Amino acid sequence: MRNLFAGLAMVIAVAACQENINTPGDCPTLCPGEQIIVRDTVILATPGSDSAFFGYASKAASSVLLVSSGLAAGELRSFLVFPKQRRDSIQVDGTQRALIVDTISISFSLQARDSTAKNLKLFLHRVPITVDTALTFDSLQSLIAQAPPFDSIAVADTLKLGKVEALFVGPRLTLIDGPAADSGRFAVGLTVRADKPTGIRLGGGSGLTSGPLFETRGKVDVSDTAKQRQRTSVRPDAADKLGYVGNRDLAVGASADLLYIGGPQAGRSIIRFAIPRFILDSSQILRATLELTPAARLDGLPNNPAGDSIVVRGVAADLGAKSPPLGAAGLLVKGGLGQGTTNATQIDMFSLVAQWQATGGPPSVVFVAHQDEPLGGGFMQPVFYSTRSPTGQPRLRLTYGLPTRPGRP
Amino acid sequence: MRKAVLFGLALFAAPASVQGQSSQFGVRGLGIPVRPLSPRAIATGGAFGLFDLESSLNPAAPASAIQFASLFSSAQNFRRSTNPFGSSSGKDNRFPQILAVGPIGGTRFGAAISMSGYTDRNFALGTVDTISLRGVPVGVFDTLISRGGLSDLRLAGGWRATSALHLGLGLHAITGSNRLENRRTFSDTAYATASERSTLSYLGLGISAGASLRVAPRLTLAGMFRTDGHLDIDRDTTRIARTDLPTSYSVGARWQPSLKVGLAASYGAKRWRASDADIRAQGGVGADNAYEVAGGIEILRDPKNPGHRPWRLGGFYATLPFPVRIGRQPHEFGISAGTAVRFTRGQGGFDFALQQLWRSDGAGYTERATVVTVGFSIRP
Repeated sequence: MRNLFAGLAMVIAVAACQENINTPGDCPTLCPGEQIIVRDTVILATPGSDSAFFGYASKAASSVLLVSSGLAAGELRSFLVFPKQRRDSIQVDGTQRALIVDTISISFSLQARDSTAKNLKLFLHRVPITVDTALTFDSLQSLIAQAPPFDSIAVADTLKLGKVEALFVGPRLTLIDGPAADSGRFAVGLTVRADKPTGIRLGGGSGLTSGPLFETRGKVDVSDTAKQRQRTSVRPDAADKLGYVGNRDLAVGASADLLYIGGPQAGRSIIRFAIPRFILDSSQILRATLELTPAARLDGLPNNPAGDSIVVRGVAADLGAKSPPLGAAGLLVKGGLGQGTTNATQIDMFSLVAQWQATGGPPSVVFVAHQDEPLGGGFMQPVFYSTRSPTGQPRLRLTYGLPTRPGRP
Repeated sequence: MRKAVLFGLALFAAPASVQGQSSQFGVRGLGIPVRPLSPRAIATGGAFGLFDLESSLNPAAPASAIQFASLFSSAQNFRRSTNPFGSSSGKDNRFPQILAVGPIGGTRFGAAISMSGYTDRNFALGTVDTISLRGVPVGVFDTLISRGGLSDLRLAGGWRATSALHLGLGLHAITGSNRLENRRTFSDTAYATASERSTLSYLGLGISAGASLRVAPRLTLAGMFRTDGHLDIDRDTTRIARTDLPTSYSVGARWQPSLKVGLAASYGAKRWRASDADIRAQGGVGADNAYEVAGGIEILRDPKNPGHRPWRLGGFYATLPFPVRIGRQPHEFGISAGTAVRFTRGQGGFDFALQQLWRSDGAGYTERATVVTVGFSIRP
């Protein structure tokens, strides 16, 4: 039996050895086949088939507040209206009790800033409660100009993201008082300033927890000391009662020979490619890059880690401006927009082009948009050359492999 | 016999990797030939193969079966390959021989069914290069991986014409597949790995005849002739080629000066030149005729229990049929040793063989391999 076990152990040891069948070689000298052929090609967008469309998002759908000062991307101002709030009493243990207000806080969620801009300050201007998303930049700017800031929030140079807050205590509480006709509603216009041209993005949107918060804090006369401090808060509750406006809208007077994305009117551009059949049918895509050449410098918020980006989606069917985008998250590709440059924007299209190769796959058409379109837009309003431009037409740079079918004896 | 049939059916379900060992000399042609030998025959350099019941060389050998036996062998190959492009070490494990043999009760016949390696085409070739992509030099690493080879499914029947003369006939199905993967990876990870896969499948038929004759009380001669027809080759599901397969023959002599000592020598030749034109037509380098000479000795400790702890030694020299480069026929030289143990009154046993092999084409392609073969046999 001892021999049996020894033998079995040896069999197991022999069988358990890991395989390595590598040998050095030099193809095609030693290979029974050729290496995969790799080719590079540039495919220009189908002439005349690309165009820009606007109006893919309403102002009321915006969930951010943009404010800027002196940026080449344009001037941006934000506004918001807090709804009516009862500040003189509060319900404690089912009983309405008088609230002795000692503090009021107006806070915002800082989502993006120029990290090199020092001494950043957010200014709060009292504006009429009638402001809404129908407002133009000039009219809001006029309202703000008529109302010097009633307070400001100094944003620490080290703060990149998080809560910024204006506190009103003691005699400063009167700054919040408004005309009786406002019925407790409170409207604010926002401007910003720093040591250099800059901008910020604040959380917005009605009812969102990232949106602006108006909070009243005070004391109630109850015996339970744990319940003596109370607070009550509101956020803007109407979609048209907060938003931002800018003085730069490239959709106004847009050229039909350029491609626009983003901006106040949520521009998108559609681009079509005619890829040779043999590439789609017989090759393996190794790298696919969409190259868009800016027609003007890409100006946004500098030094912003969460900078402006472009998104490219395939479409399920080519229906022009109303082409339904492909739904799968993996088929949305992104590319950073180079702040302050005119260098070509490059977007990795590997996953999309692979879809185009599938039998019955989607058409080789892409929709290009600003990544922040669902939020309400970004600082940057990129404009790119189209196929009608003399240079810098949209192009797809493909690197693909062709099979060699190895296996010769 | 029922057990033999069951074992035979099991062979069809056996894994396809019934091949020999990976080698850089298995890259071209149909691969590196595999000898259809049991661990016992391997340990004696292959010289006892024509006389060995558990080898698949001579279809007359089953005539000497007196009890049912089945054998399963496993070979571990440790290899170092060198060529003008570098050196590398490799190792792999294969199952070169599965066999069942036994007498047909009440008759002078014995039968065997076996699955052996025919050629082995397991290898992975790696090369490095630089190409220009998008105007920038990019490093590329190419890998061609081949797995598989040809197996020989044999059904053999032996007839004890007399106590001295055994005759046999074998039918062979040569089957197998070759799974190829071609890959190109890039030093710049922005590029996806390029790859392609294809499978070559093979089917051929052959027939063999063999005899052994005891010409003197201590001297036995044996011989075998085999012709393998042609091999149909399909890529995926499409017939792409047909390759003529060789005829072959082997002759050998065994001398037993005493009950404890046996000596054997053999010579075999395979006319692979028959495949040359077809292989060239398919883009290969070609094929040359190959031969093999072997000599070995077996020393028994207990002639009443010959399978228990014998000493086996041997050596062989062979030419390999498929050159890596035109005009450079490689060759192989090997020495071997082995022993065996039997247990449970000889009903079970292990046979061990250790081979040291040297291969070369005489022009920079060399290989050194150590092969450990273990066979497990049952004689219920």
